[in-house]
Amino acid sequence: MKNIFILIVLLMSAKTFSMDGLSLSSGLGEGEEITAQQESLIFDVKMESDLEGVGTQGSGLEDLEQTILDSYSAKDMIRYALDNRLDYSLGDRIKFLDSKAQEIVKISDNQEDEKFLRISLNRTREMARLTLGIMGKAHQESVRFIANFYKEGFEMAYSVVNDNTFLSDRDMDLFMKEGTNVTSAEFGRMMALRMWNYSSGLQADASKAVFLVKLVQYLGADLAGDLRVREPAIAKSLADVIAIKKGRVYKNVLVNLQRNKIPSNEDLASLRKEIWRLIRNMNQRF
Amino acid sequence: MKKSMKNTIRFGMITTVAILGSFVFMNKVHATDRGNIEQSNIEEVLSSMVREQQVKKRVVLENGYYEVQGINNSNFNGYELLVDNAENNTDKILAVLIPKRVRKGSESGFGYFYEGRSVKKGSSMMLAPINITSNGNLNIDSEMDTRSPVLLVSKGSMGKFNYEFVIQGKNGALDGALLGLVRRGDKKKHPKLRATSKKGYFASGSHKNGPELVVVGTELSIYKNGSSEKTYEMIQLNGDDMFSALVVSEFDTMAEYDVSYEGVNKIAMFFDTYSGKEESVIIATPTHDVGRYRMTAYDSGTLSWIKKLFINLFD
Repeated sequence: MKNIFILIVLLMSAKTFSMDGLSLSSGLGEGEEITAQQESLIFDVKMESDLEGVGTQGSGLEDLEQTILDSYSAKDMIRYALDNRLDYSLGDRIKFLDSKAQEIVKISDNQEDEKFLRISLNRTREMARLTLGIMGKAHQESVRFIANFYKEGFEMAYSVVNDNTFLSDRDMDLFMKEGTNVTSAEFGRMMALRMWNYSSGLQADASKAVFLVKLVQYLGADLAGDLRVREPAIAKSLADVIAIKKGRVYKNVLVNLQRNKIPSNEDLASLRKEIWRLIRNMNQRF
Repeated sequence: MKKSMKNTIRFGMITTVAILGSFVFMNKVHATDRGNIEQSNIEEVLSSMVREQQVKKRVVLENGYYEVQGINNSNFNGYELLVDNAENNTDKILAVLIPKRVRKGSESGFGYFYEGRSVKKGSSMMLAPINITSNGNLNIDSEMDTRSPVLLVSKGSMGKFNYEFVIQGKNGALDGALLGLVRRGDKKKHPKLRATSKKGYFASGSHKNGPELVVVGTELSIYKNGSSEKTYEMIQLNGDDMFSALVVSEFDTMAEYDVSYEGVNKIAMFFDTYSGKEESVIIATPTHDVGRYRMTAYDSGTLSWIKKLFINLFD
């Protein structure tokens, strides 16, 4: 009788050990069958207890939270996003890059040297939102087109981060030779060329019109925002932009878009020609 | 004497007045003969140049196949123009200019992709080259360049050259060729263009030389000397399912899925041959010339040579 009691106690203690998850293999090795539900439960309990330890230690990560958040710069995040974008299909890639763009703008905060980085990403997001729904019935091509636009938007954002915050610590001659110092007008020209390249393709005329109108608006803001706006090269280009914005063709296209109408072929062709002249002259001046 | 002098002076004065009067009279008659000055509305005058361009015959290139016949240039004899709708805009078309022998798979050759739109108030249609840019997008060359090498299509019946449509190469396009278009009558023989394989599976090659091209779903692999050279994902370029863009695709073995890049490298176009018995695909690789592509046709090759012979005899 005593032997039987000892045997029962031993069996119960063996089962308790196996359920605690401390010795899963030993429990199974004794020929006991474990259901999938039990296995999942054991796994969850084990993982939960493992993770609990991480967050509750005295010198835990909560103290390092800000350090961790600050460890990645906006440029690091861009590199990360471009590298990881290939984990997604083209459609999901747009969503991924869009959410990353928001995060990066937030991380960049108000840093003066990253102003054009933030503008690049914000404009990329804005253009995608404005055009993706009106590009026509070739949805696969629209998605590919916008995914490419996002990728190049990130690349542009990466390239326009200035080095001017380190001016006081660095030799000026070396800075002028090696440092990046993109001005508002130069950034505007780069953005205009990028928008111009994306204003052509097999997509619908309405989305092309949006690209052209926004090109003019962005360029006007960038030229006006340059400290050297009174210099002849910038002033003349700004005058060209204002002349286009005051012109009949631009107004016709803009009004049609605002009324959700497709601009006429003639107006669109004329606006394209005006912008082509504007960019050609600007390239000669800069 | 004095009297005769007076008479002479009087006569002279009368004669002078008469002559001057006749001049005045003549001028008056002359002015009356020419009529009043006609006043035209200035706006009408300025818009007259536009009105002159409005031709009754509006050019509409219907979907289908057109045979190209050289009028001043025999180099383009044996070419075909394949036309389909552009879904995004009803007034636009997509067109492929391709040598017939290339379409039939006999050889590789050079062809052109165009987007067509009405110009000159509908009296002409402009076929503008479609390019693959360095950043991997497609663009319409006429939208980027004021002197783009475009083709102008107008109604035929140009004097002795009596064609349904006539093509003029502008800005150096096709070396300034003047070409006539003749629509092929039997629509059954017109292969329908498609962006993807109709069966979802396509293979070209031979047991002797190995595979040349394999399509599974939207993935297209091109083989060289029997081994896989490159794999692409096919992306439909127009809603009407006419042709697709090829973007490079790689299989990520760690993640166990395909990774596609954003930039377009080539264009693919599927169609039926041998009256729908076989399927072919044309792979177009861009060249340095605007809108010009090197085209190679691959066929599924399921028919025996006897059947092909019979079909060719009656084609």
